[in-house]
Amino acid sequence: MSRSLSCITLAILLLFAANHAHALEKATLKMLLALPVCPIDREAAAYTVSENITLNITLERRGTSTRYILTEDVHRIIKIVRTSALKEANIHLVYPKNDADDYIYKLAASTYNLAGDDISEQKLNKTDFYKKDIGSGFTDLYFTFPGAKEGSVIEYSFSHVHSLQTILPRWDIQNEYPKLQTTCTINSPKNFLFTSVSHVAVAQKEYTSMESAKDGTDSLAHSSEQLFDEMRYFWIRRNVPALNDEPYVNNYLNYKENLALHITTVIQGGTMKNLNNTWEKINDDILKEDAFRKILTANNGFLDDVVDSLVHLKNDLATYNIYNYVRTNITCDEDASLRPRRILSEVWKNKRGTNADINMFLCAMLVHAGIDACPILLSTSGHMSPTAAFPLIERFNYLACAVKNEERFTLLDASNKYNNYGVLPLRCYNGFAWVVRQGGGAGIMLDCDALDDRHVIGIKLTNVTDSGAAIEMTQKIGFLRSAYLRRSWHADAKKKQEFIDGQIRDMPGSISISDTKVLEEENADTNLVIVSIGNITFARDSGLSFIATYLLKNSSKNPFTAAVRKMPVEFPYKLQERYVLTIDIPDGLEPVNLPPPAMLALEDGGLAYEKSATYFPAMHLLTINSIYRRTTTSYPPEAYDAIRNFYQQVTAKENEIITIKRK
Amino acid sequence: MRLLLVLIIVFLSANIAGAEQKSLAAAAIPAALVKGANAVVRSATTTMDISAKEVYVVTKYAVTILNEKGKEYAGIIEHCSPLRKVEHISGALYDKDGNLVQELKKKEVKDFAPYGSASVDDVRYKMFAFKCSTYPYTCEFEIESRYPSTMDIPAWHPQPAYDCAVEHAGIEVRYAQGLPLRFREYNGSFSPAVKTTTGMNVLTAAAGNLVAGVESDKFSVVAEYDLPVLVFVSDNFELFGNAGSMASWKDFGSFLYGLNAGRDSLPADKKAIVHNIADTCKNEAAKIAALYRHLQKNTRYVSIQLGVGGWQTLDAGFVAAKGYGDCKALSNYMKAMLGEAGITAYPVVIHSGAGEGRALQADFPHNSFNHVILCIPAKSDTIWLECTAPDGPAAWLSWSTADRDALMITPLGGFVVHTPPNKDNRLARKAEFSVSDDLAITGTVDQHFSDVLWNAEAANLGTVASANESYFNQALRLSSYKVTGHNVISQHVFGTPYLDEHISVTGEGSISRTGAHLFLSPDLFRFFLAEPVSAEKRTTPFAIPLSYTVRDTIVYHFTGNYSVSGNKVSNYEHEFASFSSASALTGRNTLVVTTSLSVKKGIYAPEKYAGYIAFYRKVKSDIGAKIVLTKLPD
Repeated sequence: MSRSLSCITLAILLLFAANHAHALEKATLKMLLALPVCPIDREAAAYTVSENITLNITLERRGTSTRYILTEDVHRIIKIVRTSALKEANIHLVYPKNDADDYIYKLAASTYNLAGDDISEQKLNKTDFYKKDIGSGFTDLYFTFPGAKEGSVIEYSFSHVHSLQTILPRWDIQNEYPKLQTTCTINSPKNFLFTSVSHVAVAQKEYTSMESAKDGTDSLAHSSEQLFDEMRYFWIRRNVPALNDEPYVNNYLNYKENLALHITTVIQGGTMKNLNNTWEKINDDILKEDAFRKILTANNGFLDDVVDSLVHLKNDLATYNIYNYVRTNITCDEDASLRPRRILSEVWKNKRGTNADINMFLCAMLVHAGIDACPILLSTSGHMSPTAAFPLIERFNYLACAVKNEERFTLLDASNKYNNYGVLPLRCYNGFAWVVRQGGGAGIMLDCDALDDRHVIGIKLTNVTDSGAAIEMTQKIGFLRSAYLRRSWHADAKKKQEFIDGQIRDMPGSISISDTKVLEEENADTNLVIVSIGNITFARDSGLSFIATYLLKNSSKNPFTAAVRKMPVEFPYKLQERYVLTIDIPDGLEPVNLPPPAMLALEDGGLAYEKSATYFPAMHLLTINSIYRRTTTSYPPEAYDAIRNFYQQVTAKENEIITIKRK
Repeated sequence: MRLLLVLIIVFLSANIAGAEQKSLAAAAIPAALVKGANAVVRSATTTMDISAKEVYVVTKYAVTILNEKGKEYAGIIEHCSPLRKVEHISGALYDKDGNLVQELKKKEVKDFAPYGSASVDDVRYKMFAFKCSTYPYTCEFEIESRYPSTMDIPAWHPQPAYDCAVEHAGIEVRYAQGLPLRFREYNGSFSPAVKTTTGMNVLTAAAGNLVAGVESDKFSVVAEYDLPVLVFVSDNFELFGNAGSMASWKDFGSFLYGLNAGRDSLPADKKAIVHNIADTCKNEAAKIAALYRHLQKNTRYVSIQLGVGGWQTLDAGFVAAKGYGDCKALSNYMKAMLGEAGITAYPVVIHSGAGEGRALQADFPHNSFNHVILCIPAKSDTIWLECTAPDGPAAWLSWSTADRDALMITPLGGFVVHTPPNKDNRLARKAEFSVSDDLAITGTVDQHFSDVLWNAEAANLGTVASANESYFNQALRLSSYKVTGHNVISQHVFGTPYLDEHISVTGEGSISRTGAHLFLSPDLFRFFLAEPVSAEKRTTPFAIPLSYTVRDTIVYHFTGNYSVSGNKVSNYEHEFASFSSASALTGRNTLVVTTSLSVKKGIYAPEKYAGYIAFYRKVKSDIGAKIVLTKLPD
């Protein structure tokens, strides 16, 4: 950042710090309007100049009764730098319809533009706000800023009254545009205790008062102070960079700065009331819910016959038999639900349900068969990962089944007939999960290191002449990828053809595939096998024939192209990919030279590649063997250059050519 | 006697119900209809009562869902708006034998409205779906809806989609004898017949034994209608109390003109701005370009379409004050600004989207428009303006509105006009690399995009340098490279736009060496020929929607001397496209590879599709083939 822009940032922040009132001071505004770029990010299309979120927890009296309410005051000032960010000028606020305890008020919004030497302000009036009943008991309140254009500053504020829940609205510190300053204040009765989980990578400086925290220049500052009967907690975060997704990140939400707050304890008359502040308490509360308790403890006599028919061998096979029965006979009609919605008999009768219905049904059948099974609650990728330190059921959005085998759990998801036994779908490996059990649950980590996949590609060239050969490719796809492909193809029949076409498209242009067969497509318990046959034509020059050593081009381009990396590099699972090319060299032909053997590896050995070429004259056989191993699934951004370089070298090795000639 | 009568009625009812149930048994579907279908409409009846001011429609149908892919037919999504009120929905689910399993309860119908975009409208939906996992099963629905306008009379679509066969479907349309109702059928032979009884006309039509068809793909011809349809138009209509006529395009244009007349006055301050901008411009084109730029800089697309607002523009004063509006409002505002500058412009209603096949038909006026643009007629060169584009040039239309018939709205009524085609769709690319002894490359890549190809590339490019760098890092098919510099120049002020990109790169791994041989592939750039979809034998014509040319030149400079085994030249010519390529050494250390692809817009017979597939494969193979160079002794 240039010195002049640094000074401007500081000036803006000081002016905002000085102006505790929300209204924009004219000189500050003029300076903002004249600024052509964001002071902390010259390329940002918009930035938040100031954002203040205040959460007030107050005791409200209604007649003879009292209750706590939460008022969320929001105030934002945003500068539009480029037209591509004009979407920021469209605001939708969604809140419950006809709910006396949940409403929005004190809504105000203005657009500011430079008009010569002056500032024009366009305030929104009543007719500029549009309310729409969007169904499911919610209203959308929409407004758009008049006169918003490149260079405009927009400002809006509103108050949202909620009934108080144990989880407070999350403070989203970071988004796709940078923020010069964002604050969060909580004013609460002093008998409330909070737990907070911060996803902020910078150090937090403690102050004794909100004012002193505001006066500082720290990237992150915090204060907590008692004011008469209430506590005030305050955070300020300055110069927040924009967050943009990068490839090879399993869940970018885990890198998005935010602060989540949870009311864990309310002190009433000298006694402390704990609100689900431990996993064990959550475990007990879930088991009190009918949907869980009844399913797991009921007699479920209607399952007698089917369970008996499936349980006639030893225990581990019984688990498989029941799992296989459920995944093949019950159809999932809605994914990603945490709590069962239907009773067991309804699932049984209709042979369909949500993933939670089906997996609870699976649990019930296993329990009915005397197997130690229970539900497991987890979060799928695309949702923020749960953490062990922050007991919150709201972080979970998916239910699967866990079977206890001595000290470990076998994880099952019967909601899709193509799911693997003992492995959940990839998206379920998103951090901490909770196994709900009578007498005490258990937390387990579902991370990518637990997953290992193995592909084998075998290619044979036969009937070799100096101009070409017949080719047969056999791909034994790894279990995890097989399950993914089967699910994807089943959901959309076109995907299968697209996959096959894509593979053919990515082969060298000299290969012509005449037939492709997919084997084991319906057998979820084994690898998918793809066999393609056709012909390959060799490039030739001066009596020499040239053959590419790698005939499936999926690795012929470095996947890491960006010059710099901000986030860690994450792979979805461990992987071993073995490649074997066998060429029948007939009498009269011989290889001229073979590529030298290669062993490449990252310093930690987490990424490794080996390649060798061998000619067996007596057997008329030439083989190329390569093996790629990925045993580490996560690297910090600092390792990026080494990773990029590793793949660059692998790419070069896979682009090697062998030469054959007539003897 | 009364008891006997009741018993007879009960008996008859039971028998009728039983007969209905029996007829819904899946086994009764003729085998020919099951073939290739995911669902079969067993019977569908539509009755439509059309009066001068409204249309009342009752649709009742039973559809058997044969497999998982057909499950979307087990549900309904009915749109509702001030122009369509859904008054009743009922439904029932039957098993494979036609036994009643479940009846739809009113409270199960979900009512919702879409939200979240930059739009305000009064569209809502009613949605419901039966859930059943044992196939086949049958769903029956009855929907009553009322259209309080006769401007858009719902068309009759006996076959809902290509994968749904139809046993029987029929329609009965009742309307007063004096009502000027026209109809036209497409892709079917329904034999519509009109009978007159007691002052009422009754039109009946039927369709039956419609087999499942072929799914459209990216090569399919985009037609007015893909499936059988019977379209109705009333020459006289009312829209929110405004009487109109669709007896001719001229009349419909008069109606739209009248509906929007007098809404183009600018406030005084905006008039002053217009003169400030336009009065110093040298000619009319310069005025148009300057005012268009002002429009783009100061307004944005926000759709506010409430009630008649779907067809009547917001006042120019509103857009002037708020700085936003939909296509009608922004076009109207631009028209007002041009008017203030002494330039006459007319709004043009048009169907925006893929394929010009949806263009209006000269001999059958009916409302099939979804967008408004602006036309400034001139003797030599008529100018067209797309007023919702935040960043396109004046006097240029993108592929979504180019080259099609549309209706120009004037005080004299509507006139059918034709928008200009995109004729200059060119991409010229040149890469020049120095290759070091260790096969690292350093060089530059220049790309020139024009017309529609400008549009595609401009959309790909980010608005900021870092976004462009990240885009360029993915844009070349070199196996490993870094962008060391880049520069983009885009001309999009007036007329056909173009864009020049210049990037500097360094890279490795794209050239390999074995002994004295070098291997390289000229497969460097993005491939610009549509990949054929898998089809053993095409039965429908295939369409190429755009003519364009792509010319590539790649130059490699080596440090040593090389030979290449003969100068390779390819040339393929088809009626839909041509391709040529050549690679040759200039001197002994410079390899020049050139390719030229020219694709011709058109609709081609199905039997020519195999030729297209072969052409695609040949071109792909040619571009991807390795070029072998042999090092010569120093």
